[in-house]
Amino acid sequence: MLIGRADLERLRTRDQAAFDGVVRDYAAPIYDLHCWLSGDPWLAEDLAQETFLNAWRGIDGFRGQCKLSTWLYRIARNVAAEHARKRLPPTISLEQMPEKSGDDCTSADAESNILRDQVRAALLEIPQNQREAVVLNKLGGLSHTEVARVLQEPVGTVKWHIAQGIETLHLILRRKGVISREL
Amino acid sequence: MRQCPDCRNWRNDQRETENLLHSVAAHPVPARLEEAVRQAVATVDGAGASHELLQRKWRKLALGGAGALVALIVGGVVVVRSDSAAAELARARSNLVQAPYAHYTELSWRLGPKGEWVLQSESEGWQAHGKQWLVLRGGNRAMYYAFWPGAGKKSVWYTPRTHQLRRGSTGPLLFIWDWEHMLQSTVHHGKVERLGERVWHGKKVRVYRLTVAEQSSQSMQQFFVDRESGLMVHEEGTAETVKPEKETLRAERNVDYREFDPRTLFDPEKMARQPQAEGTPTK
Repeated sequence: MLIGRADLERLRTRDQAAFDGVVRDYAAPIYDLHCWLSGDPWLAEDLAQETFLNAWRGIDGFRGQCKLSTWLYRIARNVAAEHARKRLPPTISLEQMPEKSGDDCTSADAESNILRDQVRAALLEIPQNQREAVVLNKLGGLSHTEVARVLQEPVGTVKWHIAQGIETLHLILRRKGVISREL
Repeated sequence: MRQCPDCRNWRNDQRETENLLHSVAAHPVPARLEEAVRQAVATVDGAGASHELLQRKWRKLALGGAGALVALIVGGVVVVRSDSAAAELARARSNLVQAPYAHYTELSWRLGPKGEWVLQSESEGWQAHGKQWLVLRGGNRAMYYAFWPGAGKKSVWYTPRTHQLRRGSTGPLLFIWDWEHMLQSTVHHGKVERLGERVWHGKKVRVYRLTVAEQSSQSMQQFFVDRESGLMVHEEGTAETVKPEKETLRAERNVDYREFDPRTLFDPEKMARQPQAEGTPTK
């Protein structure tokens, strides 16, 4: 759904409350996207923050002709790509300890977390353009057309990347034993 | 797609992967993210501060704060790059210059493999992976100093920043820094408090307050340390700051760090006269 004119004006005038609403609505999907793309939840937090900061700075350039989510996803993708381009070696800090304690973590949660970690690790093994397309489409829930807008590529190319990505991912997951079923 | 050898129908054997992707749980969002974003945008003015501007400001602050920091590094390790001429001169002097400074701790200067001066504490050395490490770089009139405060506990930080390490260092550098211990052992009547974390120009920083009480004045400074890089990105005085120290900092901003003799940093006589303003590099 396209953003209303009034809401857009509020954002353009840098209404803090309006922007807080945007952050509230999109913090989860943007953070999740960065987790999948970067493979590092700790780093994803910074990248998500950078995404919203860039959105705040560049809100004048948003004309409201596409969905706000598409615009935010595009910024997020650029932030992630920029980070990947720099190819900074991973940083390790002792303070990067998981925040969630095991006390309130059920076995189902633990299994779910393990599966998520396995998928995330496997995603890092496929090429970046395929990873972006797969993540946006299969994990972010964007349509092919929306993914094409975010990645600024033809829809056909996006479909190809997704298909190739899924195929590669399938092989990786099967190799790692995450998927064992043979047809 | 592949053909089933039994029924000869084409089957999509990647369906399970697609289903898996659809069913995998999203990452839980850290509760602090929204607040961090809110604080980050609050620090940016409406037009959006340019990256260059922030960089310039950072560099300026880094350079301006260097003098004060140098005064605080006793017990740590300092690496200051010198140009080839200065290095040659230094080599001619000695490969190991002892500069014991008993008032604080035992220190020694030596030349590094790239002609840089290395100030090293005898007790907590480079190879020993002791508690206090610090690298102070002087090149192109810019100084990079990196430290990782531990707030009373050890912190280990591998810095990947090649722009900080491309000279005089090979591979990742290990910083182990006991910030509180270092400062407590350096200042006479000071204390260091960790005030918490906040966002400063989009960076998550840890904030420390150093309070130094002298006979006639009191100095309070806050240090903002980038959580990601471990770099001190900002410092500010919050109360009566000792004026002579401020003057010294301003004067030192144009120092060419390639030429100064680091031994002058810890001239015992100078420090005895001016215990809080010592340690600033001079030509």
